[in-house]
Amino acid sequence: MKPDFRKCMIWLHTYSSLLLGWLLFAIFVSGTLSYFNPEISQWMKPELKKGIHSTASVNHALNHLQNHAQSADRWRIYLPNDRTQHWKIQWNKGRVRTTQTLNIQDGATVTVRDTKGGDFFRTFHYTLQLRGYGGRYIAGVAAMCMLIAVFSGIFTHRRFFRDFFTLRINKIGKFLTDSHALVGIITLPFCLMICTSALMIYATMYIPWGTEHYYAGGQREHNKHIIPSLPKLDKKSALAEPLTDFSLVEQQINQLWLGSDQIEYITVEQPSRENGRIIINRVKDQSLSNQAERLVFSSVTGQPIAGYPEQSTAAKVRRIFYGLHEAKFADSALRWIFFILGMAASALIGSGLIIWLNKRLEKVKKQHLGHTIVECLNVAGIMGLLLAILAYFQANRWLPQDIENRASVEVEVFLYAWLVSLIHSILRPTNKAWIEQLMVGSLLCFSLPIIDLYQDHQRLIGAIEQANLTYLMFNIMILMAGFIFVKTAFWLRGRTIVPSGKVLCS
Amino acid sequence: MIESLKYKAEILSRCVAAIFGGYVFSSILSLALIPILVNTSGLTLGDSVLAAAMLSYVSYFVVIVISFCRFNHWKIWAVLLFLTSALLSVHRVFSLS
Repeated sequence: MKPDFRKCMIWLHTYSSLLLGWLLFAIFVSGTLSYFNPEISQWMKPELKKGIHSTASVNHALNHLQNHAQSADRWRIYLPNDRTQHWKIQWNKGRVRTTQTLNIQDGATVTVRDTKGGDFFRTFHYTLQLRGYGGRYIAGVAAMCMLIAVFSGIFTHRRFFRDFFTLRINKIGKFLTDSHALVGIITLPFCLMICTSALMIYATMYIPWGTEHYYAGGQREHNKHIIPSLPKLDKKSALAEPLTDFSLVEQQINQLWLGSDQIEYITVEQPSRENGRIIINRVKDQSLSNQAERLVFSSVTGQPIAGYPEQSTAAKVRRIFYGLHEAKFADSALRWIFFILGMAASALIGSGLIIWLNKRLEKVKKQHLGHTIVECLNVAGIMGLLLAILAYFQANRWLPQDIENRASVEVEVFLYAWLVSLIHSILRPTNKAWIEQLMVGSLLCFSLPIIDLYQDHQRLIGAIEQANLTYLMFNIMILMAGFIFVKTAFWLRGRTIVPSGKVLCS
Repeated sequence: MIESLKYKAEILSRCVAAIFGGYVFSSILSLALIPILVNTSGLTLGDSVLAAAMLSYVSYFVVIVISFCRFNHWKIWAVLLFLTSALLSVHRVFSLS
């Protein structure tokens, strides 16, 4: 190894990022999309109508549960808010869980298409669709690689400030390097925050030896010790009617929690027993921690009863890392900043991968097998992932409502689209593969709003009438993405061949 | 030829030190920290286990970066082994029952 700290760091930067670059790109893109998880889910469930909820709607849900699930062990009511119109009620009886969606305007049950919605991106970005097969461990390794790459990336700049203010736009290779450096510096704090918090959330899963040594049940037992919980309810106590008028509880909540619409969801445990209790979870836009504040009431009298014990400091720290990672505290402006930073970080990873290849192709006369592999993976890892996401959205609109396991078929479409992109990238020359996939991507983007209009034009008209920003913004973002794809495709077509006949941009 | 083989072997050695050496080091550190935290900071056992696991990441990160610094790679291995065994003995001696 060359005996120079800076060169060592450049080496480390190059190979720690190349190793898992494509995986990191997928994780960052899907993770960034999950900032808008409720909004994406809302778009993917067009059956949900916009409306306003009140105490009467909570009472209506309680009555509905009383009529349909009197003997259940637990009820739960998810209230709609300004980010999602999903008014969901759930009841558990033993191990069986039933979920229904209520229409916010008249309180009748509606059938919503079976889809994972934005939750797919959320789970995908840390399990990689491999939960139970070590997916979360792979994601952890990727987070560590990103941390190392970001840290060592700082040292690749000899003139930090001059590099920051340099942007040469005429030559594609120079442009990529300059913007890589620029974006790298801008997203540095964001990447550090995201990767560190990602590791901290699963700290005891990645380094489990402490819990294994001190707790017979390992992590599970350890979590039981540090996560505060309520005493178990006696399932055989006397029967009693639960309260049906929520206003009694709501008055007390309004005194304790200032602000409007503070309830995220309501849980009723043992609703038919006299020891039953109501647990209210507060929305998380007030604190950095992702542990919601909770209040506990008796389900018969509506009077407050002993709540959750105070959380220990270490557990709070973990919750705060969790909260930082999820950014549920962010209002819409801050969330957009996070989203843009996340997209910039994805672009950082993507451009880095392309630069790696360009630098090597400039120097060598004959392409190495490794170069060809990186070329294909660049197309499939970057463009293929974006195509797969678009295919997932398309599948949401095209798949018939009544097929079995519709939600998992949508995910399969995502995975197969990705595979097709990989095969295409292997079969076609790289430059052609890029342009063709970009064109397909833009076609998928532009057709999405058109399909929506064709399937049910009331969606767009309704969204404009009700000023439904979620729906409108989704379409605008999709159209913008399509525009960027077209632009890039045309740009590539004009520029790629350098005089020596070599393809410059991958 | 031999020069390049030597170079490759050194990189392999550094990678192993960083990835596996670093992981073993921080695992042992997370174990050794637990009795220290319980006895000095007044945290409960559950909190110390969590805090130790979180803190041990810092050491993992530092080991990875140092493994690729210009120090002689044998020296890195020596220091890593020494520190790991020292921490292991802390864990063995002070381990809570």
